[in-house]
Amino acid sequence: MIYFDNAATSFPKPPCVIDDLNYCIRKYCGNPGRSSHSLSLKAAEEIYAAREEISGLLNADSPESVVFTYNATHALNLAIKTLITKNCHVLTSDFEHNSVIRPLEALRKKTNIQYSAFNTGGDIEAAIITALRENTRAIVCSIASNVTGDEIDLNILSKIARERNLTLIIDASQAIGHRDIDLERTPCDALCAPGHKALFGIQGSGFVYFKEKERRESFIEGGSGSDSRSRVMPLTLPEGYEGGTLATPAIVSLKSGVEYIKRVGINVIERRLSLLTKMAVDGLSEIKGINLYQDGHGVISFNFRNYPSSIIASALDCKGICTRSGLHCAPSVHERLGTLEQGAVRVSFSCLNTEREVKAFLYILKMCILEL
Amino acid sequence: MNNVTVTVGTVTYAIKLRKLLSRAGIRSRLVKVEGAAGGAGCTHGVEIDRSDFLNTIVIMKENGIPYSVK
Repeated sequence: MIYFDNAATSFPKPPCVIDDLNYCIRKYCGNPGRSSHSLSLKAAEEIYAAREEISGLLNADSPESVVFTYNATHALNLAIKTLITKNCHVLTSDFEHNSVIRPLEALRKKTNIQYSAFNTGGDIEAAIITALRENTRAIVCSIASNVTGDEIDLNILSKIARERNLTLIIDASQAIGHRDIDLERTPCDALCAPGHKALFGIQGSGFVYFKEKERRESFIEGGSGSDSRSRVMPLTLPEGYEGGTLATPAIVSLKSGVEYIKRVGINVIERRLSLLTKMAVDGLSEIKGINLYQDGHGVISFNFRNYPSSIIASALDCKGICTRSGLHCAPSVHERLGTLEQGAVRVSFSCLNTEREVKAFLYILKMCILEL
Repeated sequence: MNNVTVTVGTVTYAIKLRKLLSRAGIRSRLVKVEGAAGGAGCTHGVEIDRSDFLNTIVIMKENGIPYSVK
């Protein structure tokens, strides 16, 4: 089996992640910060260590600003629905995932915000500035497309947001873990990410890094492990936004994944993904009838003639190659590419994939095409 | 050990304080304070030797950690 669906979730996980997860579940997985016994306090310490690892990865100064969520969608909902004010205009990009678009649409109906997209096809800075309105108060966007790998430079976004005093919410789902993100150099108001993709944690992990140290409106209300007589959530982060029991095993796995990435090195991972992407793109370009949609690294989408993408993905799956077909929860990208009806087959790598796997994929794809 | 408990509210800040104290060479133990002794319900803090109290308060003030003393 060859797994090329890492943009959906990474698989397999490095052995150290599995070992640490196993140890947590077997040895100390009490409810963190809820009880006074050693297992609860140990779990709480591991959670804090995870916050430290993540803030270190982002070159940010405050582990307490790392708020754990269950995935990037939860993270984006938290950031968008707490930081964006009513009756304003929000700018987003034309390659957003539904985890950005749907919360914005829900806010549009509830709080009368308007949102529009800037074109990522040319000069991004000019496109953003042109798209700003007098009542624009926020920019919410991804810094890498989950369909084409297309990227937006966080330096540009951060600079424009600072100059114009705009709230900046970043979806780093497809960039974190293989791009250097430095929040001291390129600050934003919230950076949202999943733990279960390139950070190699298990599903059920994600986070927001907030610039502010205190919460605004609470997003979820419930137990926080302290100040139980109060009927409101704590004001300070992270507990102010974390109601209920945290997913301790998932967070421990995320910590372990981040430690792994730091040991390997982001630059090494980036180079590896570039190599695999180039191999795949070069090979796909030689196959007659292939339409390629790719502009970054780690993620490639393609179609074969007019065949529905599901047919190709299914044929590959029969031969043991895992890809994803369809619209990838990102309809606006497909609208731009003209693939709303056909979808596309997406191949996405992790640093654990190999050149041999890419060669095998290209060979098998050619066989599948011959059999159509 | 002639101990005093410094409560800081959330477990996150209690752990942060414990790490800061450790870096400063101050021994401490993470504790959860429950019931009436916890004031507002449940709270977390660190147990330190009384002789380290003033240094602990300085560290907390320098790092923006709110506190109360039991």
